[in-house]
Amino acid sequence: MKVEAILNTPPMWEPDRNTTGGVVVGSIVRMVRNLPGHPFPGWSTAESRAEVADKVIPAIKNIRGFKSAFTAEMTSLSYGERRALLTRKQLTPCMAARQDGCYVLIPRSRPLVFMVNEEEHLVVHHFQNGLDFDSGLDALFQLDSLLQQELKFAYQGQHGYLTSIPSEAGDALQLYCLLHLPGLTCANMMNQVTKALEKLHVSISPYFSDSQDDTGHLYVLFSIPGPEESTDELKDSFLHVISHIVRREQQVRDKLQADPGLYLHDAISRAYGLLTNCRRLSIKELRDAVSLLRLGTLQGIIRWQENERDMLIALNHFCLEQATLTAQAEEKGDPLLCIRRAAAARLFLNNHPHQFSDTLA
Amino acid sequence: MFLTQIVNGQVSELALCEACARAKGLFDPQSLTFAEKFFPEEFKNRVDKLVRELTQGEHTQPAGKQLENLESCPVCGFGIEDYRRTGHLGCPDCYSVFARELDPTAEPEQEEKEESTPVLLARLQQELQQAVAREDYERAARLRDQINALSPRARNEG
Repeated sequence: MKVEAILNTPPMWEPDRNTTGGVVVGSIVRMVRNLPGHPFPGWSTAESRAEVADKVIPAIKNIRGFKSAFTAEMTSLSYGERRALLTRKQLTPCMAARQDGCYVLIPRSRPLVFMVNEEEHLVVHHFQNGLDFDSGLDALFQLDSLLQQELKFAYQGQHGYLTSIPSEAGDALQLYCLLHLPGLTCANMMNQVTKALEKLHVSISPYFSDSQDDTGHLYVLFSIPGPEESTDELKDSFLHVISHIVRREQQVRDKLQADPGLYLHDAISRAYGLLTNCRRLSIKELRDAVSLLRLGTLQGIIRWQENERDMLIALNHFCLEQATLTAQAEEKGDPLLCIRRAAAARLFLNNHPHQFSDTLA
Repeated sequence: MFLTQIVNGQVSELALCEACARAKGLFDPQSLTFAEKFFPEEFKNRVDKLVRELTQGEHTQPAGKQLENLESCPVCGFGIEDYRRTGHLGCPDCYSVFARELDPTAEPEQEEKEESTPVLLARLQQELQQAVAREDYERAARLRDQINALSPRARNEG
């Protein structure tokens, strides 16, 4: 399988409309395992990484359904391909920077990514739509059992599964959540939320880049495991924090919508105007505008001919597809990219008939 | 830093030094206000837990305490200074080699049970040298006996 086949598959994020009002877009569970007797990848030689890969990759491929998984050594992926996979969360920033002896495996049939010799010998990410960590945890526990039939993982009674960072040893499972927070972003409250979360050992970062100015209102929330904290405790406290953020985001959305100065309607109409009329469109402009269209859809300000769920997925896919194209094209320095991006936005809106709610009329 | 908690009219007060407050993530007063405002329930749970830890003597010394340890891992060569600088370890065996650095309260006997023989031998030999250097011959004799007892096992494992 070629990397194009992976990049042409639509990313699966689908907002959880029923339980979180579309605020939670996806959930990721990360599992980390290491082999005894080998240095961790950050401290190893190319030979040592090759030895680890020779043990781990066959063990993964022996699992039913994973034999034909896309497999690539990092050196065989171009800068643009790495950036595109990074945008889709199919690589971590650490893995994207890796070289010899480091491999990524992506099965097409399952929402999983295996990274061999990332910061640890084996890192597995499981992706799930909406807010659902249980599916990911179940899938990874099963996978762990299957892998342990062929591999012995480094484990010590006192610490649990051993990792390169001692504070992460234990169950060696971590939870991430993807959030769409246009309300809190537009109300300039993200800085306060970030500081408040730090005190609860939860970190939040923009989904697409490191810059707080280019977020597309999408964020990744990460619960930092505390010492001797079990996965169940971690999950419960994380879900608690997420529910607070969801409630706060919904309150702010409703408050903005009720603003007699038509703040929200104006912002969404401007975003719509930009997407339908501009001839050059930067990726940041596109991300912010599509985010506001999603918000308009969720708040009933824009009504589409298709059902709401399909449209929310389509908007997500369009945004991530453009981000993927941008990541690939920047390597080639394409001067016409922003013109093509504007044309793609006009075409997208033409292909999805819609109208604004009566409030605007 | 002073932390005052009032629960059902009962006041508990804690005084923390700067290093401990930083280690517990309680140094930035502005962030504390945000946390209390945005996540009141979570924040209360965290403060409750912290108060319990501190009042029930679960408090541990902030990192940096110098302990008797191997200076580097005989398996991967990673040094204790590397760990202090980066917060990372070099290989799974480093957990045994730097056990006292990772958990200053760990009982040495417990650590030794989990150490592989070559790692344990290397550590005992280093401790023997240190004991001889400070003229602690009683400790040195005990270490020598331990090393002699372990040596046949090391040859068998090798």
